[in-house]
Amino acid sequence: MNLYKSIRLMKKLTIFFFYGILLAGSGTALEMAAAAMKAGLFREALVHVDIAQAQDRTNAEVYRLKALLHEAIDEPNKAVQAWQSCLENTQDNALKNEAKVHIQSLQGRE
Amino acid sequence: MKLLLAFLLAGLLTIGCWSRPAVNPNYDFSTVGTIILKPVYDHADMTGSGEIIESNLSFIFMKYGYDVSQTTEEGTFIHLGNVDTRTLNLVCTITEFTDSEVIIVPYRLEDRGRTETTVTQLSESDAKENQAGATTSTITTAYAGSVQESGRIEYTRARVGIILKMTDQRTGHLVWSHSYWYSGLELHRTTEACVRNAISQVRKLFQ
Repeated sequence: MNLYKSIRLMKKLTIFFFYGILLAGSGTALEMAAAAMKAGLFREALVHVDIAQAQDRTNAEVYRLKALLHEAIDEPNKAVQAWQSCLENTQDNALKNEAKVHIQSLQGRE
Repeated sequence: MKLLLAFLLAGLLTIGCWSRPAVNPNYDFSTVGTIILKPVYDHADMTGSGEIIESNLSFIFMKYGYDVSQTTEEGTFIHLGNVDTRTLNLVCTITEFTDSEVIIVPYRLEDRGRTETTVTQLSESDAKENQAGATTSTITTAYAGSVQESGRIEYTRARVGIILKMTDQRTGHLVWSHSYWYSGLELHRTTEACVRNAISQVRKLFQ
C-alpha cells in the first residue's frame, strides 16, 4: 500500500515539474532577473535574462538589460554583441542612440 | 528624385556630424602647455556630484600619463609636457547625475495551454467487478492555450551627463566644447565611463 502511495506521489511531483516548466515563460525569467539585480547578483541575473531572451528574441529592452549586465561584470565584447542585437531589434530612436553611444565607447576602450 | 537624393545627402551629413565636438579650427593646440581644470559644481539633484566628477577627471588624466597637480585653489593643473606657455581653462558642467532612472521592460506571457491527467487507483472489490481486470482508471483533460497576456518588470539604472568647455586663458576664446553622457547599472562605473569617453576626445587634440 505504501508503495502505491509513493508511486502516486512521484507521479504527482512529475506532473507538477513538467507543468512548471511549461508555465515558466520569459516573464518569470525576467522577474527572477530583476530580483537578482536588486540583490546585486549580476551574473545570476544574466542567467535568467538569457532564458528570457531565448523565449523572445525580438525584445530590444531585454538586449539592453543584457548589455548593461555584461558591462557591469566587465565583459565588453559580449556587451557590444548585446547592444548590436538591441540596435537591430528596435525602432526607438532614443534606444538606438544609447546603443550607438555604448558600442562606440566599448570599442574605443584601451 | 533630386529631392530624395538631397534628403539622403542631408541625412548622411547629419549622421557624419553626429556626436562630434565643436572645435575652433584656427586654434593651434600644439602650443598649449597647461590645462587648468576648474572646480566642478554639484548637480542640483545630488550633493557631492561635482567632487565625484572632478576626481574622475583628474584620475583619468593621470591614467593617460599626464602630470596632474592640485597645489592651488584655482583648480587642478594638467601639464601636457610642452614648453609653450599657452594655458586652457577646462570647465565641466554636470547635466545629468542620477542612479535611479526607472527602465521598464515589457514582455509577452504566452499561455501555452496544459493537460491534466488524473490517475485513480481502484479498490480491490471494484477491480474484481471490472471485467477487463484493470486496477486504475485515467482521465485526461486538455486545456487549449490562446490568449497572449503581457507584463513588465522594472529596474533602475544610473545616467551621467557632462558638458566640457575649453577656453584660452589669455584671450577668453572658446576653442573646444563637447557633451557626453553614459548609462549603466552602477553610478561609479557609469561616471568613470562618461569621463573616460570625454577625456579620450580631449587627448586627441594634443597628440
